[in-house]
Amino acid sequence: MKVELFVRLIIPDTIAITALNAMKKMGFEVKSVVRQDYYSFEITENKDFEERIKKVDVLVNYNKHRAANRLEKYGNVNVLVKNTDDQNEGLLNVLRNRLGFNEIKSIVKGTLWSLSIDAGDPLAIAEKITNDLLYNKHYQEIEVL
Amino acid sequence: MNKIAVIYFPGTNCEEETKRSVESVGMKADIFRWNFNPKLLAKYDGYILPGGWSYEDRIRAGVISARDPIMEMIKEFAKSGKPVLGICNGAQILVETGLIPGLKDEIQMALAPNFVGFRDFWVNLKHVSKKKNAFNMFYAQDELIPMPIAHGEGRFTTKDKSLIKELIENNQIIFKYCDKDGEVIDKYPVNPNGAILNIAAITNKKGNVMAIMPHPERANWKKQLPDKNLSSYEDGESKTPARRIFESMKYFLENES
Repeated sequence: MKVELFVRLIIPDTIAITALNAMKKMGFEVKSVVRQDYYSFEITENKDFEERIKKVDVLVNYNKHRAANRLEKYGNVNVLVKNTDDQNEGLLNVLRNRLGFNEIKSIVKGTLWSLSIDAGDPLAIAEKITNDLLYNKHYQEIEVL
Repeated sequence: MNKIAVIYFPGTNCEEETKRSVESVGMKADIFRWNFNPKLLAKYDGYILPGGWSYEDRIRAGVISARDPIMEMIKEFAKSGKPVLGICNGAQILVETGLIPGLKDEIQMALAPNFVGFRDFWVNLKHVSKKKNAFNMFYAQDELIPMPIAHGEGRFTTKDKSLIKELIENNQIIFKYCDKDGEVIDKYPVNPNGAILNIAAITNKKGNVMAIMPHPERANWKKQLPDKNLSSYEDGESKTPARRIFESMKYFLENES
């Protein structure tokens, strides 16, 4: 069973700001960028897992984050970039062995980029931005949500 | 006297010691900020992209710097044969521009996150290349060089399996992580980050561009080494194996370029 977690900053996101600046300097017409940390948990059973995982302060600090279990789209093109060959052993160890989330079998981590693109073909522009800046195919994969 | 530009991006933090290492071998070095007039780069004979956290590794390490306009000039100078050395974050920038391994006009590799996270300790490197280039002129085959690493994204990797074969055939793999006896063991901590084939440094095919993850500028004087037994102040100021990377750059500029 899979449970997803989307974590976004409610304070200024300097990574998203830098990404937007880089896109503009590269000549892409992008109105805005929203970035969310993405986690996908493969679990053996769901005993309020969705609510419990949102309260883990290793993943969500409510002083600066908001978390959701469902995708909230902030742009017209949403690209999920995932690391393909990372077993996330460190995070798995913390969640299982220190915080008691024994139901977690595996974790996939990634970044969800929500791009607001008005001009031209937003999907084609987003694809170019993703290939030129947002991901390296040699250790990451992408999914348009 | 040959002049080297040590490129400084926001977040670079190894520029001063890199400059000192260049000067220790008798070359002149200037710290060249990313927002200086890039046309001024033409007056330099070689370029070093030093270590640090340029742009805080935002998006991923090295990618924002790699897209900076100054790198278009560095690419042109690299193509013309001038030496370009990328150390740690500098190596990440070179990989994200495609200058390393430089066999196609696209990004062919990644310096991906270490399997075990950020690591900061001394490693042993083995010089494995059978071909001389701008950075390994004075290393013997299988020579061991102590050097420190300090990185969280230093794992050379690629999806292109044929690339590895090409790198080996072209002698582009220069240094590999090994143990103190020179055994290249693909297991932590000998391989500190999980890099394929224990790769620590790669050059382009011409041999004038090198991306190295460990820090030679932090192992340039004997006083910097961990197992030193210094007999005097002068002993501490004496040369180390790592310094020969910079000496090689100087030799290359004086004799080969």
